[in-house]
Amino acid sequence: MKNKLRNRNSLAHDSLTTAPAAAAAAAVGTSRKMATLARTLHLVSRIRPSTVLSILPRAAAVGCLHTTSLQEHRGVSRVVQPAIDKTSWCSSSVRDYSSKPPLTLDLIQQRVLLVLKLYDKINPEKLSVESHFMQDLGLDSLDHVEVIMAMEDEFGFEIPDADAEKLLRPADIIRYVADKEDIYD
Amino acid sequence: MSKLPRHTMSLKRFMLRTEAIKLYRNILRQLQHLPDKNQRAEIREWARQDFETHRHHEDEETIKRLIMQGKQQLEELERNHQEGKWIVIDGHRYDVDTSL
Repeated sequence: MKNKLRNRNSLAHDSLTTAPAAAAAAAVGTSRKMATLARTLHLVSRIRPSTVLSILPRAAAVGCLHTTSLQEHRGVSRVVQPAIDKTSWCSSSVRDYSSKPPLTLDLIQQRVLLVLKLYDKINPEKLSVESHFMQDLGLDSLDHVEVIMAMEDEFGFEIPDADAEKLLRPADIIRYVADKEDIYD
Repeated sequence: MSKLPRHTMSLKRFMLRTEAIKLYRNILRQLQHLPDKNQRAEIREWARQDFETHRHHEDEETIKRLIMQGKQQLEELERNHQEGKWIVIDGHRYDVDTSL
């Protein structure tokens, strides 16, 4: 949306700056077009130097257009207003709230294994989904408490003591989280 | 009476073990309230050390007494979280800087 706002503003500026350019070009005539443009642009450069470079080709185009059509229209014709897409950014009704990524069984498994790999008391080579914390990975019950706390942190909900003592493998944890988050694959 | 496998402990011991594990978990949960991560890690290490040094005790009374002590220290943590000022470890006073 920010981009569209910026474009809108710059277009507004462009319309301001191309008007005098167009006027000057139309007034002078085809022969002195480039000189006039240069002078106008010099004036313009005092107002807003940044848009000068951007409107240079545009002013030339507008100048051409207006000199050819001067025979028909008197005075300064309105600047060619580029079609501003007014509908898109005002009426956008989609709001982006930040939310948790949608969980799948696979994602849960990845996250669980990642947390376990980062735990310094676990040897990542021995780690697998079915490895038992105490029998295969050599953790003790206090380590197990720490692991469960880390899982609570990762998934953002508390695991009561009664449930925690049954979660003795990564597979158990994955199944438990999937149950709690209502994910069935 | 059938022979039970050697490593099963009495029900009382099992209950005490569960107490101790619950205590450790409650300490870790309380620590989440501390704003300073370094302090959190420090106290966690310190608690873990304490648990490790007393791991070997077989005597029920000793175990019960140690669990009581642990619970008192946990209450200390809770109280100081509510007051938000300071904590005492081994008689030394540590200021909890809540501005961090």
